[in-house]
Amino acid sequence: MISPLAAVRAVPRRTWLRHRFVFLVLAPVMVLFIYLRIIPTGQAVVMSFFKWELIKPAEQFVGFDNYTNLLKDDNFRLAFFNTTIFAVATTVLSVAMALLLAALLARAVRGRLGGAIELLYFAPVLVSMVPVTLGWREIFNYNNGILNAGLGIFGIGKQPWLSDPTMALVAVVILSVWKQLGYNMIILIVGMRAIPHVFHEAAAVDGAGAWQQFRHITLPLLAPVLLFVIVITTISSYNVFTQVYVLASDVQGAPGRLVRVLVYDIFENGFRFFNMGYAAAEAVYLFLIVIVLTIIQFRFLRGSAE
Amino acid sequence: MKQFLGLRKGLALTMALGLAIGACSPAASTAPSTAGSPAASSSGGASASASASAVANACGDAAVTLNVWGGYPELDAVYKKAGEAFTALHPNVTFTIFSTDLRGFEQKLTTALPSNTAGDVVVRTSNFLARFIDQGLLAPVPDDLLATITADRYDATVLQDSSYKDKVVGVPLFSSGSALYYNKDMLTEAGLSGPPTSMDQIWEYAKKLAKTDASGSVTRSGISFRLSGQGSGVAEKFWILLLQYGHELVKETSPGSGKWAADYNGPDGAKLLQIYVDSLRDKIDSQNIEHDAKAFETKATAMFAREPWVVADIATNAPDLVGKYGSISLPNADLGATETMFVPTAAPNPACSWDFIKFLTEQEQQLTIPTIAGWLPSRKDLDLTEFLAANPGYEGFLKKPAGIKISLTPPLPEFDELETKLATHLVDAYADYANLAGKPDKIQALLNTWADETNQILAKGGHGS
Amino acid sequence: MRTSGLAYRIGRWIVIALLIAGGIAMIFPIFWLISTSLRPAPELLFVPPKLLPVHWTLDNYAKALTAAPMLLYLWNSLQFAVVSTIFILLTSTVAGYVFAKFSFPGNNFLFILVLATAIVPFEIYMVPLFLQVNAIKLVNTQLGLFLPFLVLSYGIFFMRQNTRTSVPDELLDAARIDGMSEWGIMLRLVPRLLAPAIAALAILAFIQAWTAFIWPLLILNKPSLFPMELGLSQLANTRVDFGLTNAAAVIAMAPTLIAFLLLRRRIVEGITLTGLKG
Repeated sequence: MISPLAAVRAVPRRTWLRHRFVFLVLAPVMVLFIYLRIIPTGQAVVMSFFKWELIKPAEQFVGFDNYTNLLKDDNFRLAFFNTTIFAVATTVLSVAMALLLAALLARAVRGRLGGAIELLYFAPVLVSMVPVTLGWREIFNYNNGILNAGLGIFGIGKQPWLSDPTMALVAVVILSVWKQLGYNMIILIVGMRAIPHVFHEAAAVDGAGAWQQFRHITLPLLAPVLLFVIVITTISSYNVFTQVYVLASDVQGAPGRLVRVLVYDIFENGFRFFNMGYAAAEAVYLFLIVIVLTIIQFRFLRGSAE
Repeated sequence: MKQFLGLRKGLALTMALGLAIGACSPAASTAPSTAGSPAASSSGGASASASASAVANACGDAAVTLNVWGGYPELDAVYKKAGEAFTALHPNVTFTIFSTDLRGFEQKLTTALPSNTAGDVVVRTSNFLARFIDQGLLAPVPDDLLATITADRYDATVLQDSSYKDKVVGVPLFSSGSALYYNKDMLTEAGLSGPPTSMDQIWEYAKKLAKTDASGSVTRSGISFRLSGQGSGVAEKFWILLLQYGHELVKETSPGSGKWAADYNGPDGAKLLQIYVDSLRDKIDSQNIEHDAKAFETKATAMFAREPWVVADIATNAPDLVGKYGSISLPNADLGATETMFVPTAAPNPACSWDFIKFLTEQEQQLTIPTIAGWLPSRKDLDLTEFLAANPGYEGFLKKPAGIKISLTPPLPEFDELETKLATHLVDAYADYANLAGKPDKIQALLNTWADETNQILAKGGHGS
Repeated sequence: MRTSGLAYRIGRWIVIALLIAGGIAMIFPIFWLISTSLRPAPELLFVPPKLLPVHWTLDNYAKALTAAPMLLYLWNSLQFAVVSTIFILLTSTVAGYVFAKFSFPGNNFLFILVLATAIVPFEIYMVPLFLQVNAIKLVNTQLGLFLPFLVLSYGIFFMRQNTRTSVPDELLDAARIDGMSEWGIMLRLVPRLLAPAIAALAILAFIQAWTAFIWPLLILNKPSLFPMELGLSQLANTRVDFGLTNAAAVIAMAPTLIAFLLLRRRIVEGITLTGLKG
């Protein structure tokens, strides 16, 4: 990449025209970004240093109190623990399975049949979370759910999918992997098909087998897309909310144990207990967790790709 | 991939920029609230005088649309019917109705009231809305309407529940408590001649009514407890049973002192929690089966305590059960709640809104509430004998034994928080029943830890003792 | 082509059979929702449950359509998703292209700024954003609903990555030599090269708006403005009639499945285009 200064010296007029072009293109996009993302995020950070009750105009500066109090809060710690397990399990499972599927569907099984199979795996992505979670809630039902009935055929006893603390987490992971898998798969397939054929053909001529081709050609060239998929899955997993909310929400407290996750806890503190500043501090913690993880992932994958 | 090296720097800059911009525009965050407060008294006063002087035509002649907001969707048809009757009197007034589940509705109010986008008539308990009243977001009840909210028309508990700082702030619409629903066929089958009338009898019956299958799984609970679910519901159901033993979740240390303390960690609270976990061990109820009204309608439970709406719900969803079940008042006490009507300060046609609210308190409209929605009207001066004869399912609500104590939600803004947190602990304890059943010491220790948390929340809210 | 032995072919068919079995498992929950929506209430409680209804019925659909203005909700969702998708495709493609192919002062900084906002969960800044939108009096309006969905941080990230891999510099230079303007290159040449990525992003953007839940819940108070997801959740939260809820859920799902069938062609076209590019 040539440095901007060198470019200015080399072709001043063209560069200036180009910069004007860049400015005209980016300015409206950046204005939207600043207004819709950056200012509100900044305000959330400001809020986290206040005792702030959403409807009360009086705000009281409390420094880092919200942050230190959170570390002592059992609900926050439980939410952090649950969310982390959930995010790791969901990311690992959905990306690994998507990679396998994409590898098979991008090359080995193509054409009409491959397309039809892709469609099957992609379908869950399309249906929105609320109805799907309602459907899964019935599938997970202890006594008349079809999952336990199906397990019964294999001699496996009924599992308390929704009421046992551990199983409830497992159930949310199953539901989320099911929902996320198709999206990861389609992105990876697009990425794999964008890898020019010539590389594989050359490798085949050199006598590389399918695994070797995958390991030494597909994976390295796919690294940026794979990185994207991992980052997106991690971020969305840390923000899990709707499925947890719907699984445990019922006017009648039906079987459905609440798996306390960070966003749920933020919601509860903010909108139920009116502790907006506290909720904002919790959101900032969530933000920090996600950033640290993203940086680690970038580092790790960049290292392995080079 | 060079840019990723700079990620941290970039993030820092983002935060800095965001902070700077955020800090410069705090007005955006407070604008709605501050805009609300000064307008409160003047606008409320204006509406009061308007409706006092022009009762006959509070809605004027210009086209007006009133938006009615509630947290109970089964009431929609009541508002709709009342709206049609009102439109017949004032053809220029039309109605739209918005409702959602209670928790969603409360969240909606917390954003809609400060942003002046709530409806023209808002229905929720005065207790919940107290903090909005403090901010001047809800208008005071006009004097002429206030004059009709008297002890002749409403029970003392209803009046108390509609008040805030010793003043009636909302207009009562419907009130509720809980009663014990029981399945007559199941009772007969178990050789029980009538519904239980004491707490000991309830537990004894529950034991006889529960059923398990060959593998030992509970297929029918003797009594359906609230064992899970989000929000404060789990603790509220515990509270209703605790009331039967003469205790509250939190109690004012001496009347009028403003100091409160946890009241569930005494011997009776421990005894009740013991009954819960022992019942789970003894397979009288289980986390793995249906609960509540759904369980009752699908014959997965023999008894459960709930509000009157279940009667209407059974009629729609389980018509085969009608006539085969009954309801009976809980033995010693009940938890009362009154849904009250408010007009937001920002509502564009306050006089008309109040006029409609007044309309809803009239006998004819009050009487549509039980038939359409299954809830009971707040007014006590209405004759419901015929209604009860036609709908015997309401017996437990309309025939309360003399001397039954009605408790109300304490007027504490932090009550929901402590109740919700207690609910979380209870859910954990129920899940851990195997380790707690038959262990009173462990249970007492748990209750004491929870009570510490409750007292801390009270102290944080300025009500600690 | 390389291996054409019997073992290879058998292996290939085993893989296909496993893929199909997995695929059927994937759509089972959707099938189950449809199946349960077509049975009368008592059949929902059968132990063990039956795969298909014993008595088929459309009653639940009739009930769902009278219980809520489902078709209006669908129309609202469609408008929302289409507007959002168009804006996101436009902003992401142009910004992604500029970030990938132009060196200018602040390129890295601005890109990282965008990338950083991709990491910030919506729930974090939702409340301040709500207050901002309230300050410009757009609460409870369609425009207010659309606003946060006009840009997508990871859309820009995704398009930038794809521009780097799929748009060769030589081609851009050749176009410039041919006298094509920068605007022409960006708006006509580049999108053609990025077709598969654009198709993938279009699906993503569409789904994102279509399934949006918390923001509509926060900003809309008028049922006549509700998108499907919100309308459905209000319906589901307030009823205990599972047949009705399932039928409503199926109505909500149907258009997305159809839309996907249409969009899939575009993906296939895009894939063919990249094939030609190599």
